Amino acid sequence: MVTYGTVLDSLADPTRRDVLDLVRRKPSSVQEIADQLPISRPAVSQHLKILKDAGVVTSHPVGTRRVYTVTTDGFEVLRQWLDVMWRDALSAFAAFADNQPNDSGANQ
Amino acid sequence: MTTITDVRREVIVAGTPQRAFDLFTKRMGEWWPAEHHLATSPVVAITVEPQIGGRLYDTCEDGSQSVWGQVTEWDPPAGFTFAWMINGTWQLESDVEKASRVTVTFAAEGDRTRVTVVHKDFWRMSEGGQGMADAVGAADGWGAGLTKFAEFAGS
Repeated sequence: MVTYGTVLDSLADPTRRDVLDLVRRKPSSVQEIADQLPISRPAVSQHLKILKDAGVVTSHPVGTRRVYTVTTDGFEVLRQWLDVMWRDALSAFAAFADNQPNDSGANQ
Repeated sequence: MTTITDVRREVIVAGTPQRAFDLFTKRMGEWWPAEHHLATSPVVAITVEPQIGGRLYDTCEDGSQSVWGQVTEWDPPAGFTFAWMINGTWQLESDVEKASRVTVTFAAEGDRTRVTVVHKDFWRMSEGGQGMADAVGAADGWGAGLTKFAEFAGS
């Protein structure tokens, strides 16, 4: 199971985010990505491996090339994640608001 | 493209809508779950500029600012809406048109207030929405840290 932490770690590196941005715009091979960034082909491969392990990108063969794309089933994951975020944010807000004196914020 | 259903959450808090609105917008840094900041430096304050076009931003320990929202509707104490300006790779989305929207409303419920959050308009994120969806990973990885914060904030 890919965790939130794994994904965030995979995106912690600015160059890796650049790699992901290119893949997101257009499915690309390692060489195509390397051509557009000031890093070597092996470095691109290493970044792609980390992104792939995190489940952010996937790859498939096209002819003699291997093409990387962003994974396509993540919308519901986004929604669930935001649902948890807002649930916890509102829970934290309620705990905060209920613990403030009544005259805080504005008039009761 | 895939449609994402709105995210909708609500909670009841003590006091009037005006009080809740002010606590929510003026003291956000005191209750917002600490784990949910994009900034790399510890966040010391969250500012909501109280007007249409106003920014929502973190101020970090090192003095830097990290903008993550822009007010699109401002109607105190009934509510406000902001563009959630984060793109698919957790960077600032500078184009408001490509940012999803969050509406927060405050409605009297007896002598208490119902606070409702609707996170919507995910279609605006266009290509960025997919990258973000991929980036966020599993929901359970996120929840644990925020639960701790809720316990802290409530203590």
